[in-house]
Amino acid sequence: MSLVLTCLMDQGKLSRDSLEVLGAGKSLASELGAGLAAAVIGAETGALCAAAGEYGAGKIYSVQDAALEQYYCDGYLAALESVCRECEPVAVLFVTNTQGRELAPRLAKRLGRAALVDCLSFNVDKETGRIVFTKPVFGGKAMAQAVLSDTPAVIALRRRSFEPAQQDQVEPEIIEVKPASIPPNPFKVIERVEEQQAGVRLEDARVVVSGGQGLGGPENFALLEELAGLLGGAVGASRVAVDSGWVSSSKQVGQTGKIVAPDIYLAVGISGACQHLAGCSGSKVIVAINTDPEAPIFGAARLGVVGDYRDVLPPLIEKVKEIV
Amino acid sequence: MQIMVCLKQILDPELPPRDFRLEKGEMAPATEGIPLVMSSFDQNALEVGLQLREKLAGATVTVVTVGPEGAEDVLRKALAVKADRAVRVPLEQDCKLSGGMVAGLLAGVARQLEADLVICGRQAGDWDGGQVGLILSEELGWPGANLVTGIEPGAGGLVLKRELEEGYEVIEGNVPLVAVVTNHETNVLRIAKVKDTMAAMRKKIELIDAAGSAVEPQAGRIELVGLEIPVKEVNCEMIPGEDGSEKADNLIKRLLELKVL
Repeated sequence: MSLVLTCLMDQGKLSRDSLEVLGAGKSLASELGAGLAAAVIGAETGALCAAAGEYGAGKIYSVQDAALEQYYCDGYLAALESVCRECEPVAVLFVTNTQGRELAPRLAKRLGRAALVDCLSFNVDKETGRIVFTKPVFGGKAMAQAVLSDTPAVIALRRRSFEPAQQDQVEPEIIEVKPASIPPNPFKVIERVEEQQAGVRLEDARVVVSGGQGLGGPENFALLEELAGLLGGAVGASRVAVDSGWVSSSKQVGQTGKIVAPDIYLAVGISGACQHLAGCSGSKVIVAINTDPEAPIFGAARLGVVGDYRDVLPPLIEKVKEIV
Repeated sequence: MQIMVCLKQILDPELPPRDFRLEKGEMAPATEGIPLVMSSFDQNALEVGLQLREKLAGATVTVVTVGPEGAEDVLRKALAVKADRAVRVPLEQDCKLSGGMVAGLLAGVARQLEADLVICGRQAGDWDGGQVGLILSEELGWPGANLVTGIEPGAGGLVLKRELEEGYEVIEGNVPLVAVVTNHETNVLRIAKVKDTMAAMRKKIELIDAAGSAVEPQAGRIELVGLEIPVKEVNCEMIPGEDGSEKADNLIKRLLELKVL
């Protein structure tokens, strides 16, 4: 039976990203009449194998090695290459996060195949049996459909574009894979700084208040922080705000930043470039506050307020205080 | 140290969606009358290369592009901010999503230039492939670091700062290596002086012929089977109000009605 291989790049327990890749893998496998497999990598993969089995992975390829305790590209690539040579999947699925972005193209190259990154959907052509993948191009102004000529198709899926897998307990077959060699990390890690997030993670927030060029400076993000705090939300930003040094780049929402899908996405002083909208188009309600009624953001927003945020946000904050 | 920075000329990504059209009957965008610019992450890559050169005596920055003659504009822009050398690999075809073909050509150039460090932008703002630099590190068999924001000389090689999902890390590596750059406040491309822009017009651009065309791989081809402009069906409802306070009131009311607040 042919296999769809999902790459679960977690330690210990399944992340939302991994649940999404399992969910997508399951639907692709069922369209192809293939089985669902998972690759897990680490120093100790037992817990992750069990978790993958709970979500329907019938075959689990496990690479355990002390050297793989923490993620590094070259080590995980060698592990994944061994897994792919062992199970010869029809498709290999990643999520387009920092790991999937670098692993997918490099793994494909090692297998003599090609990869597509940031795919939004797929469908199987009934006549030819080929998988057609859709990905945004030109910053989201167009959608491309592409077919990879040979298997495995190596794909990184855009976050928040696929439903996470539901529990579906199977008794998985666990296959231990031993790579011939695991190369050491060619880079020495001198310092690793994990940003402490106050409050909710941007990607998990129910409300995101984002600021852009229109804010004119870092100090004006305080209003956004206050509003987001009151609503139990998080602050995001456009690329301009990041490039200007007003906020840290981990707050960038967009095609190459965070992909968010909150109930309310409040875009303050953001013009609405396609690349930015790509990061928030899954939101339930996009609200735009902008002085320019012609700003493209109003073409994507459900609710629009034409006006200066300095006039609108302070009363908005006061009203929110009354109702929360 | 020979630093090679890869640049791509693309359709201006700032073009508003309403002006973006497809070429009739072709899976390609209409280009007539639309400005062409240097892809934005490549601008960041160039800035990272220039900053490193300033800290390394004897280092040179060679900028390389793959494309038609018109793509030399991006090389001239790089020369205007004082890149040392500019190389074009002539190629008329648009490789579209097939970044592997471009990476193959660039690997040949890196070898010919005896580059120690190749710097690329993370993703071109036209086809958004996001693969060339990564495949290049595989082609060359060199270590590759993704999402780099800056490079400094270090005691034992080069010190690279790279983005993590939440935060960043500082790593050290030895050349040869490939660095794939993302945007950061520290790597916004400097602005050229007018006299340097004038001087760049007269500088020589070297051609490195990589057999005239990119080679389609035997296996693992990416076949583009469709390209379309998505139809947006959002009608923005404008919130009325005489002043900020009234607008805020009405906005809250609508959010409550939509049951998202």
